[in-house]
Amino acid sequence: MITFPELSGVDINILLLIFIGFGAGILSGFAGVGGAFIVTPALIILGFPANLAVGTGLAWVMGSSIVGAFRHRKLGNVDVKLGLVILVATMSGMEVGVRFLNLTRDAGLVDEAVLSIAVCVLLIIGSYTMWESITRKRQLDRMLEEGQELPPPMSASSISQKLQSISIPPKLYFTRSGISISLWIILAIGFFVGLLAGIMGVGGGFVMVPALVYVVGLPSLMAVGTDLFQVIFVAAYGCIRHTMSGNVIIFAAFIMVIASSIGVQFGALVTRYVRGVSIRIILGITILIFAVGTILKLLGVLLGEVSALFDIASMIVTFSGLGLTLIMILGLFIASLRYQRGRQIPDWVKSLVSRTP
Amino acid sequence: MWLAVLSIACGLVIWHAVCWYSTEVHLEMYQWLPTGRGYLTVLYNLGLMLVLGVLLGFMMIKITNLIGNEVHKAKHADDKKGQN
Repeated sequence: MITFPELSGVDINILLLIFIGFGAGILSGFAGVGGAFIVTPALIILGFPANLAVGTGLAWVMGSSIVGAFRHRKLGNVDVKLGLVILVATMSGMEVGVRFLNLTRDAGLVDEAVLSIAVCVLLIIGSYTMWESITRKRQLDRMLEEGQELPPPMSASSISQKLQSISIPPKLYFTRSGISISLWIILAIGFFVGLLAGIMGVGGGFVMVPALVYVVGLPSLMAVGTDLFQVIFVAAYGCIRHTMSGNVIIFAAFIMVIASSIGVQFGALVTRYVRGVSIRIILGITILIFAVGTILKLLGVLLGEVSALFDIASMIVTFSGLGLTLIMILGLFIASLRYQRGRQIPDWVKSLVSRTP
Repeated sequence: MWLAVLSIACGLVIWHAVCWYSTEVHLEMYQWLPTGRGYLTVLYNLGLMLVLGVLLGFMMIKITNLIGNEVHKAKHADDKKGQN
């Protein structure tokens, strides 16, 4: 047990703190999400007050994303130019989002507004990601059945092709990703994601990765690396704001960063053994689990009297979601190793894993 | 060589953080926030996360290389262009 004086002497189990950091690190390295949406409820379950959980979570995201971005940079999965352009828009959107949040707080509607927006966004993005990735998986399964070679990573979607064909100047060419797109479209996407992140109080990775894949047309792995790179700055900004408000327990974040640095390596390593479609399926499942957690929280706010019950249910769903996701990532890794060594794996898994690392 | 240097640096940062936590310097800095010295706490928190992230990031790459799981660059648009 460890005691944080900032928490007025509340004892926290250090092993659970390490587990949360490690688990969220795996998810962060694998799916490119910051992980704050998992860490924050987990810290609340451990006994952190909500404001300290949010601030400490963001400080952790900053350290953890630096570790993950190093790995992805080495793997060649970071488009620095695209990351920096998006970052400018994300930060502006985030500031507007935070101001909108303050306005709704003044009107006494903050919980209803934030949770309703969060539920809609999560359901739309989660459902689309799942629909697209399952369709893609079926297509790959069919090709395997017919004995065809599996194609290279998914080419640009029809939405991204249309957006890339819009020629509103200035049009930017991103050498690393090989895409040419109008600056205004990138700024609009970044601003929208930042706005949502600011309203929902998270880093925004789970919105940014699908946006980069489906709207901008980046390959999944490149989207993961580029997102982690820009999340560093978004989280640093959040960390500054929350430290100023006294919401960061730096030693707790410190312990979790050390644990997650190992998890991030494992998560990033697994991306070499799986196809992009697996990353999108796991990301989709994670978003939908988070959506269910948010719906429960919204019900708690709307029903008032039994809100404590729904809050607990929401946290259990989110926390167990982390466990489920970790099991799936581990399962894919083991299946991929078996496949590469020529051992038998279920047919439906073959389209999810890569034959060569 | 690099791994040894990075391990020592990481060890020093961890020792520093544990030491400051046990002597309650972190708590003292937390209490600076409403005062004029609050900016030092902000800089310290950012610096600690940055230094730890960079050191661990480098160190983990060196460790994975050491255990034979080297990080290879994936091929993307500009690499493919270079090959043509």
